[in-house]
Parts: sequence; C-alpha cells; structure tokens
Amino acid sequence: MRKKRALVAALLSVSLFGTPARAGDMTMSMPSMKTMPTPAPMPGMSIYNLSSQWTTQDGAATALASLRGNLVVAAMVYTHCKDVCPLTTERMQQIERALPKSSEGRVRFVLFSMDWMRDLPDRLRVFAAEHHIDRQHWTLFHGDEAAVRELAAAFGISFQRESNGDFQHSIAIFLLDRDGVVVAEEPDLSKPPQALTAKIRRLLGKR
Amino acid sequence: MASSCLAGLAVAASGAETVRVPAGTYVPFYARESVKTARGQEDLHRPISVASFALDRRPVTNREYQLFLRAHPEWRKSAVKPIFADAHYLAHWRSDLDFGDDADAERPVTNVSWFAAEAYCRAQGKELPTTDQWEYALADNGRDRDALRQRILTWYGESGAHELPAAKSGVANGFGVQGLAGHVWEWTLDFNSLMSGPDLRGSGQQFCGGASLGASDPNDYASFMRYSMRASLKASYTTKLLGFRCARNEP
Repeated sequence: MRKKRALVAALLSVSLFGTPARAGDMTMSMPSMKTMPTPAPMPGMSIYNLSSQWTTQDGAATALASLRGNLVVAAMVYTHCKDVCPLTTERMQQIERALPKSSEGRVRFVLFSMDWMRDLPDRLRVFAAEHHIDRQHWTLFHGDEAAVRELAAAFGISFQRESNGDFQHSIAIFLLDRDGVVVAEEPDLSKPPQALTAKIRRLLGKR
Repeated sequence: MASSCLAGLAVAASGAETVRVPAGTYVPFYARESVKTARGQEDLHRPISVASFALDRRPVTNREYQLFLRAHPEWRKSAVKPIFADAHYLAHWRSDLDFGDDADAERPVTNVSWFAAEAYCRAQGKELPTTDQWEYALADNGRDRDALRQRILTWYGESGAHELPAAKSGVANGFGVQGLAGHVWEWTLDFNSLMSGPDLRGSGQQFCGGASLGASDPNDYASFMRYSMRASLKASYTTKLLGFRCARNEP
C-alpha cells in the first residue's frame, strides 16, 4: 500500500504534500472579548474564518466566530450513531470532569452534527438530555449540508451519508485555542484523552 | 424540432457552457456501502443511480478564474487565508490577477484548493460535482471503455511532462463532456467521502461504521489511481495537476 501511495504522490506535484505546518500555538496572551473592544485580526488558520452559519440546540442562529475567546473542545458526530459517537461524547465528558473547577466558563464543549437531515435542534436537545450533557458548558450545533461539508473539510474529517441516512465518518476530538486554531487532535478514542486534558491545563495556565 | 438539437446545451450566466448529463446508473470502483447479494456475499457491482444534472463542458480555465478573482478579492493569492489554500495556491500566476500569456488563458486553472474551487462554483450558482456525478460522466455508459482506460493510463504515465493543453482541446465523450481524462485531475464536492479508499484504510484514521470493501474491478488500475489520489487530498491542498469544473443539480 505504501508503494502505491508513493506512486500517487509522484503523479501529483511535490507541492501537494508540502503543505504549510499547522499554525502554532497562538494563545499566548490573547485577552478575552470582554476586555478588548476591538478584537485582534483572526489568525489565518482559524476555523472561525469559515462563513457557514450554524443553529444551536435552542434554535439560535450562530456564526462560528461567536465561540472566540474560550478554549473549545469539539467533535463532529451524528446523534443516531450507535457506536462511536456516544463514545466521543463520553470522552469529551471525561475531559470536562478532569478539569479544575477554576476552568469553568473558560472551556466550551461543542458537538457539530454532520446529520443535516435529522439532527434538528429538537433532536439535539433530546440527545443532550439522554447523555446528561451540561448545557451550561456545552453547545450542540445543527448545520445545513454546505456548512457540514465546509467544516468537515476544514477539520480534515472524511464522511459520507449512506442511503439509510446513517453516516460513515472518521473520528477525532479537536482542541481549538481561543482564536479557533486547531492546536491538538485526538483520533484514538480507545483510552481516556489524557493528552488533550493535559494540553488544556497548560493553555489555561497561560493566560 | 430545432429545440431538441440544442437540448443538451445550456450557457450559464458566467458564460461557461454546460452539458446536460441524462439520468442513469454506473458501478463505482469502490462500493459506497455494504450490500449483500442474495447469496450473502458482498455485492461489489451494485449500480448507483445518478439523477440528470448539468456539468461544465470543460474544466475551468485561468481566464475564467481571473474573472472570479476580479469580483472576489478575498480569493486572490495575496489575500487568501491559509486555512483555505496552502502556500502553493496559484503558484503559476505571476501576480494576483496575472495568469501569464494568452496560451495560459485557455488552459485549465490548477493550483487551486477545494475551498477555492467550491467558492468559484458557488459564485456561478453551481457546485462542484459529486464524485458519483463525475465518475458517472466519465464512465459514459461504458462507451469505448477499454480505449478510455488506456488513454487515462497513458496520461498518468506522462503527467507533468508537458504544458497543459487548452481546456477546449479535450475530446468530447458521448455526453459531450470534454477533458475528463487527459488534462488534469479534478476536485469533487465529496472528495473526502470514500471511506473504502485504499489510502484511508491505511491512514490510521478511525471510522464510525467504516466499511472496507473491495473494488468492483481489480484490474481497473486507472480508477484505482484516481480514487487513491482523491483519498490523499486535504481541502487546502493545491497542485499543478489538480483543477476542477462545476455542476448544477436539476430542481
């Protein structure tokens, strides 16, 4: 398989694989929105540059940039998923429980649904209740097909909708800095996400 | 009935000529999902239905892309955000709006990311074609299948060795679509959807419901290469052999 891949790479220009490194940790001393009337320019690698609109579980239309200012733990899921998606939520809740009380209000947990047909706000509220999601610290988002495609492309998530309405998709929990730049991602959900938790603690200590 | 002669043609507001591709079926190289035959075996040859749609007759050219950039400065190479396109975006252009000489004007635009290609198509009231739409258009109801495969393989062998030909120089297939094979690789709307692509299986990514099905025709090396190429892409990647065309679904 490696050989075949190398061949594909050779067919494409070298630059295809020479993508710029992910922007570094931009969180050093970014003040919160509250203390700064004119926000600094959005870093070029920020997810918040996406223009797509999302709707919260409470039906509020929201731009991604509204998440700016907090650390964000995020994943793309669909609520009818029986196996891995509930585990994703559970792993994120483990992170939530492992954080110190003092971090409250400074870390936001966000689930983006990729199921633009079925995961309307009502359904997201039911899912939140079933999974004992603390809506004070969590937001669940519904987006249309274009919004889902754009965000999945930005996260590097592969997905496809099947004829029965379910999805095949790749999995990861992402950590966004206060400007929406992905600074860590954990694709392995087989064990508690300790590396992500440690990274959040470090970033919390930095402000 | 003069109108029937023209039924396959339409000119979009942008000036890019589209071809109406009639509804039909094709067998994808990789099955889209697990379906069992009556005898309980994996059915790798199940045809996929594709509704009729409009597809650009040719890949988008440098000149057409320049028109888009005049109206959408945020996609010029000095302005584009790095999350949307890597550092090689429009690398063959001399400056923000200068693609080069007259010959370059008619060549397919390349060095464009998925985000840029999709933004272009949306500005024309279109979208990138889905992988099914693109593959169905290429399959051309099986016309000249073996010759087509050979042409693709020959092109793979010489890729990058020559200057790109003009977009309009491509041979039209039975649908009237030009240059699907032999010019550039092309973005599709859901390039990141092929869970059973060989590279994804070996990529270490974990999947929810991830099927890993076999190929419908293991001897179709041309398709294997194309699906592998798509699976290796990220949405911000740009390369000198990757361009695009747009499509419009019928209401």
